[in-house]
Amino acid sequence: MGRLLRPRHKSKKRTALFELFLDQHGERAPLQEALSAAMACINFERRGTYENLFSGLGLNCKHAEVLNKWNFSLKAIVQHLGLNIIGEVDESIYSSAILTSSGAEAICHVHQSVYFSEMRETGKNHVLILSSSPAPFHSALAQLEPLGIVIQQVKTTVGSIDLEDFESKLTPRTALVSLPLHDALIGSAEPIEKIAKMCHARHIALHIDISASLGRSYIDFETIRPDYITLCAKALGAPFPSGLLIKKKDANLMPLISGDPSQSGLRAGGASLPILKGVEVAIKNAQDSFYEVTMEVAHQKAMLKQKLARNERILFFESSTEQLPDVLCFGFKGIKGELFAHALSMEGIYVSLGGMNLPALCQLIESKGVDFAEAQTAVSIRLPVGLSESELDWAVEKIFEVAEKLEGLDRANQEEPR
Amino acid sequence: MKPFVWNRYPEKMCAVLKELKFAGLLTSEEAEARLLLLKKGEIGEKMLGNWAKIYALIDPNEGIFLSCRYQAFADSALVAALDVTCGFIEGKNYLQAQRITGEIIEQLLTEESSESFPKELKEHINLAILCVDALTASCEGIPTPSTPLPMPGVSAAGRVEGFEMLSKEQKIKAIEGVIAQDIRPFIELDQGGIEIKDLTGYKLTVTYAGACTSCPSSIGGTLSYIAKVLKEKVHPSLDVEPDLEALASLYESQASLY
Repeated sequence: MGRLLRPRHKSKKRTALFELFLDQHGERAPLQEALSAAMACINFERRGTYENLFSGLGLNCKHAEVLNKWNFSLKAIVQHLGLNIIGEVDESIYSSAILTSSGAEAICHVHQSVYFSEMRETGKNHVLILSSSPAPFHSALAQLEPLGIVIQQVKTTVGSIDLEDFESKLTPRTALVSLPLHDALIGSAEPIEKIAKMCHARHIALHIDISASLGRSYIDFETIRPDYITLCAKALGAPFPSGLLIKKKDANLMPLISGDPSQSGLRAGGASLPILKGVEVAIKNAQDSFYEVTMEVAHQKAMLKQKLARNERILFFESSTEQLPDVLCFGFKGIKGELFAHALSMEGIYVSLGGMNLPALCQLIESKGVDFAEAQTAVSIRLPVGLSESELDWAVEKIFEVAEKLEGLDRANQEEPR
Repeated sequence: MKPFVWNRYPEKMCAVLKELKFAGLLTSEEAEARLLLLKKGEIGEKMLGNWAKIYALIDPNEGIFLSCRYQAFADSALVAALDVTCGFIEGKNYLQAQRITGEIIEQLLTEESSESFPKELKEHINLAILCVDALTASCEGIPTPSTPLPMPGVSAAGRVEGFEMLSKEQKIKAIEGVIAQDIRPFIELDQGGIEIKDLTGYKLTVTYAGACTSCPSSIGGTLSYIAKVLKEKVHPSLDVEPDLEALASLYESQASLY
């Protein structure tokens, strides 16, 4: 077996010898490199405390050293994302970033900032989001709804956003368009260049979340020029909790809670250099593995699809637009996704059905125009980098084994059509 | 914050899901070949993801389910509930099956497990019961000679610790707990009942009620089952005897009716 399969812990419930995690859509275990980079910033001489930006402010020379490291790390992040070349010759228009405790906080921060700095000032109180966006998009705005904002949800059709519906909902009162660049569970991409063009023409602030896209798809920031970029760093293998918010030079940003001068006064609470270093390494790692993901993992996905297609009961749920190279959604006719995923987990293979911050997979697929009964058969997998062929074969074998075992639940459909 | 519901599945439920014994289909051809009737009970909607259908081959003279299978497009909790339900009603007549309760299904899914059945999934147990109800409703009119219910196997569980040291009231309370959980639900399937009359040393006297009073099994198979369960789960020295005086007076009053 390859390196990803690992012996599983002894359990009375599950008897599988190995386990394979194909469910790392929203978060993954922290990378060893990211943890090492974070550890290197912990100052053991000073009783092992984290190096915080303002600890010992004005009392010793440590502050200047930490501040330098902090700024250097932020610059490196901007560089890894390719944002440093956007803007004027010497200065990027994306030079301001804050480290948050999570991707959800970063999204909430954008929404609240736009509300306090623009909506209340100008009376433009409409926000456009996708109906299929992850939970933080909805929950952050739901808090603001009683304060007078209007949330417009844009329909998604097969593949991605319905551009006609989107355009019809852009009004002179629209202050913000907020959306994830890719759907983490299905892997479908939004036509962001077209969306950005419409927003820029109408002077509407654009916020994109790149948690599911980074290192897996080329993001043309030069064309998109979003006002706000957010990122859930734990999805990339950074030490968590961690998230990142980068803003364009002229975009407004205010703190959710005031009271701490860390991070230019844009976010209260200690700014942890070790976490930022971990985030930096995780972002670099994601960008460095771009080739591997888009070529090798994409090839493995095609092979997996080919192997799975041998079963005549298989259903693939794919978008008609560009898709993430490592995500595959499938199901077996007549077997509910939850039951299938549970049976796979008993065999040591973990797949995703959505949930937590991500939307429910079946509802997401239904929103793309698929019959709901069929959509309920779906499970989603994200192929990790470094999966060996033998591991892939093992996974296919287990998937078929489970599907065959559960096939007995759907004989009525085959022998006695309802 | 609770762990994800799958991690709270009892071990027995996981074992059931690992090997679904009763998933499948029974056909009318099969029923005809065995001179039996095919009956079906269906609930839910595929669209809602809670569809289930139980198929049963029933003896037209005795009303006993000789074979049960089910089809489902549902969550793992409902599938597990259906699997144990089919196993439980097989060999019983449809009137007995009609009296299956949520507690019985829950017990079948949790026996010998350290965890209890997840609270938020109990509606799936109710769906399995509704499916049995739909099945038994389709069996109306089939004759059912009264046959005592075969008792389930006794599961090995911890005995009451320090039983000898307890007061009489505490001992009776401990015995009552085991009767309520492991004995009464099964007896009630046959419209019977059981109460504790007295405890003298290790001799427990019980009084029967309902259908048990006229059933010969109450001093035979059922009695030995009760004794076995109490020996296993309370104390190995416990002896159980029926309240013969009450039984005799009942027999006399019934005989005088004829």
